[in-house]
Amino acid sequence: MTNRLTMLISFLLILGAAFAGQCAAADPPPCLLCGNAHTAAEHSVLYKGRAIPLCSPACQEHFRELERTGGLDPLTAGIEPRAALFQADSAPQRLGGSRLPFWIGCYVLLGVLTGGGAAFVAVRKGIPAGSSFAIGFALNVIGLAIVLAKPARETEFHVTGLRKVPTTRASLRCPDCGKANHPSANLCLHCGRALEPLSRSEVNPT
Amino acid sequence: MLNFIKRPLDRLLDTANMPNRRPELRAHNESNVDDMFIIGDLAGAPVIKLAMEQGYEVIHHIASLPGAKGGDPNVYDVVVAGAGAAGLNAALEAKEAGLSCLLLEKSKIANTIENFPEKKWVYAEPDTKPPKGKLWLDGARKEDLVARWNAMITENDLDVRREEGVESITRPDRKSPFVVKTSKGEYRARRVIIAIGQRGNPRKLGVPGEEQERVYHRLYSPRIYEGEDILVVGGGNSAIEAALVLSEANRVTLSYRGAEFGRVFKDNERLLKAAVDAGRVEVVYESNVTRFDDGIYTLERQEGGAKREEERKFDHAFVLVGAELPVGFLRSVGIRLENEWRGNWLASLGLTVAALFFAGLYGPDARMAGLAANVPPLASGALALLAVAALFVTASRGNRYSWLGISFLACFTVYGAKVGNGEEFWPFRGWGFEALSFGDRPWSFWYTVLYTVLMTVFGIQAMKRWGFDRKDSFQIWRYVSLIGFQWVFFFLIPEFLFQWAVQMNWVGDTLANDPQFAGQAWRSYGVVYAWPLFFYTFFYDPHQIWIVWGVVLTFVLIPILSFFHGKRFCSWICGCGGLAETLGDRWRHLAPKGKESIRWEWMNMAVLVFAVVVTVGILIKDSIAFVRAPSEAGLHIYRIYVDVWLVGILPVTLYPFLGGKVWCRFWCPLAKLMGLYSKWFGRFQIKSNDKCIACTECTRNCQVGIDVMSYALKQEPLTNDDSSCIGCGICVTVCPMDVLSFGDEPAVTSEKKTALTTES
Repeated sequence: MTNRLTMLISFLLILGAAFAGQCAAADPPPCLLCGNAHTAAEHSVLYKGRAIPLCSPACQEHFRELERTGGLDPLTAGIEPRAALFQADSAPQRLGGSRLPFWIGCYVLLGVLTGGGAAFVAVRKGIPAGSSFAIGFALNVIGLAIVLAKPARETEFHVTGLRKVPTTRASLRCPDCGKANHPSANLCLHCGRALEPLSRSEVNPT
Repeated sequence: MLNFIKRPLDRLLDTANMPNRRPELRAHNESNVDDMFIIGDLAGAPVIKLAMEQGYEVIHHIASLPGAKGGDPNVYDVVVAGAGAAGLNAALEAKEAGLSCLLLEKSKIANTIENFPEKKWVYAEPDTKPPKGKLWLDGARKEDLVARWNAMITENDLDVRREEGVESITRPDRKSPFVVKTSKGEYRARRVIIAIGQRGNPRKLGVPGEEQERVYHRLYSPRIYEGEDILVVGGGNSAIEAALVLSEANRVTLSYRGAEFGRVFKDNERLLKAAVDAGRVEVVYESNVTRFDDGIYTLERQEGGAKREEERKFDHAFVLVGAELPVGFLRSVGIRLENEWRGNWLASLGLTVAALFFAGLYGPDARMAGLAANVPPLASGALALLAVAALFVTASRGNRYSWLGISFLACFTVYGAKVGNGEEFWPFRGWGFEALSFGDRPWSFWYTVLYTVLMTVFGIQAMKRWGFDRKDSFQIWRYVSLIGFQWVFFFLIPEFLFQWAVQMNWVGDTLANDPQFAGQAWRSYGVVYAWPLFFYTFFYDPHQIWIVWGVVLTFVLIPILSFFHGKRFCSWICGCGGLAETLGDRWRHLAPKGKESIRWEWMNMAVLVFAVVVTVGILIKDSIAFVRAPSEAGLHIYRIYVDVWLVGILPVTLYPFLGGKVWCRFWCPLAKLMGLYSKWFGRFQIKSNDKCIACTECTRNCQVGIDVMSYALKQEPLTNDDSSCIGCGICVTVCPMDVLSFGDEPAVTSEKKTALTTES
């Protein structure tokens, strides 16, 4: 356990170091108001989701003044909103690039839906769900139609998803000796008398 | 001070092993030792029929391997250790498959069943599944079942050595056969199957005097005791049932270390209360037996915060505190256990730090220039890769800390480089985002592709595990939903459709030409992600459409969903939960469990409160000047710590160690908000009937750490009042006895227990 604790503390230290590294300033953009290259995080401000680089308390004061007089929007219009951390770069530059991922996505999405439908039908019909999903996934609507057209298979051991009801019956009492037997027994285990089974045996008794 | 952190952390991490550890298994029940398989009780088979199934399937797998039949008369194809249901069925199947097989049993055939109380009825559950293999199984009294199995051994001419336990298994090298040493001889085998179970290894108190004749660890014939002072130790169903049956003709004291019985059948609880009221049983809670002397035992009791010892007399004592995994034996043959922290943590830590350090030298970051002056970029890159390779080597040799290091490096890279705009995390600053951006797409796009592909591939795998293989349409639809939502709402819309809608004026001229709407494609994640999971819904200059939708989603639609379905958003819709349910599915059993882990869930309340405070602060900062600075600082902290570390890096790093739901369960503020909605006015619940056999499968597979079995045993509804259940239904699916069902199903009472009571 000491090992685990030490490992945890060590990783927390790495986390702290990484955070410290993250917080250390990269090359800052120039001041929005005076163009000075030496901007600092403590002077910069957020405005309508935009990170505004500023270089000094004087520029900060100037910025507040413009904010009060409503003269900021023309200055900040060219700066993208900071946005959510992971989507900061999600704006127009993404419009380029191939559309192939989109069409692949549509095919996979439809495949998952029709494959799921085929597997659902297969479970209901008592036929293999895995291969039905594969057919539905690969052939989309055609695959679903193929699975729908397949005949159902008779199966006694059919699990109906989450709508399960216990099927165990009460034990079967021997009319002669009164001892309890499995509901599927056709012979009394105790006296050998022939019994009328209440359900089909799960296996062929040896 | 360290103990202050260490103790609760220790308890939390160990809860994943409840109630017993299991060996680490690969596909086809193969242990970490090649060609050595584990089946039956040891491998977690909850009932006889499923133990038999494991024996059958392992032999089928072995028979399908190339060169399964060796042909050397001095080397068995398979040696099976343990002649219980699993081992016997494996031996019978091996015979059928033409494999030479030796079955070793340290005591009697089906020893666990043999040791059941006299005339106990053995069930062939689950009825919905046919038994596999040749071994006969139908409901029967234990004497008849064992007699039939013995007859089958003779009829099939199995090579069985009774009362010959395995003492050691060794193999000089990978190509040589195993040498199986027993109490009577030595055998060589190409493959070994361990089916020794754990019931034959009762847990002991480890106190002086426990070895004496009158102290037992199982109750075989309760009727032979009359008019005696009897001590029963334990708090499970076995102990309570023993106390009840012994109390019919004796004076019984039941000693239990806990303050209440947490995992007992509702009926047992009722019968015990009646026995206590009638004065037939005295229950001593919060007590421990510290020694047994001749006819006297010492009981340490907790009274008013102080410990007190007292001596009591006894004629017989039954210590029924469960069974233990034969850890010593398993380790002696080289088998690793689940959730076992092995290896040199210092070496792994060093390699992890080295990989990050050298990766940092590779980059052009000015801060590193002094350090990197004499190290060519390619050399530093090669050193970083070398450190990663060394981590892989040590991990493949069983160092779990190295796996943790690899997992951390992978997640740190994926998320740390994704920030972009020159703000990547060290050591990727200035080059990570660019290096991972290709095909005219930024890394964040490829990250989304990677996320979606992982969810799809592992989602189909999980769908097979829980849906196809178990013929469970609920799970099929659940995984289709998770994968579908990921593709539609977290990939196709934000990455393509939103932008096309703007470009092609599908949203109308006004919106298409409004930069506040058209320039913020990322906000389309908020179509499904509600505040506070999508933290930026209400600020960063949103268009009013998004504000209205955000309010409707968080404060109208999510409460309605919670009313009907509790927290199913997490298990049917959410991308974060989706990755946990798909990629993290294989590690779901490692989730911390029970009350101890639930105490740690206070953290998501803390994140929710933090999110509320920061959101309010950001919204009012332009009106109230002194709120500005703390709000912006809070926002910065939230972005880094919650949106990167707690959502991305840490939870995904921890998937293979604490299961997939670390973020959803411990830190997600939306999960907490839905939990509160569901607790206040939800109607979601999981109900139980009276058929629970305490196999722990439901608890083991719960990703949010609920001790589902304790609810099932007591037939209490499981709701969001005192649990963070997300309604994934895996507990319902996995239950071999069909005990659990969702709330709209009527509770079913089986006829079986009634019949059993009548018989006895």
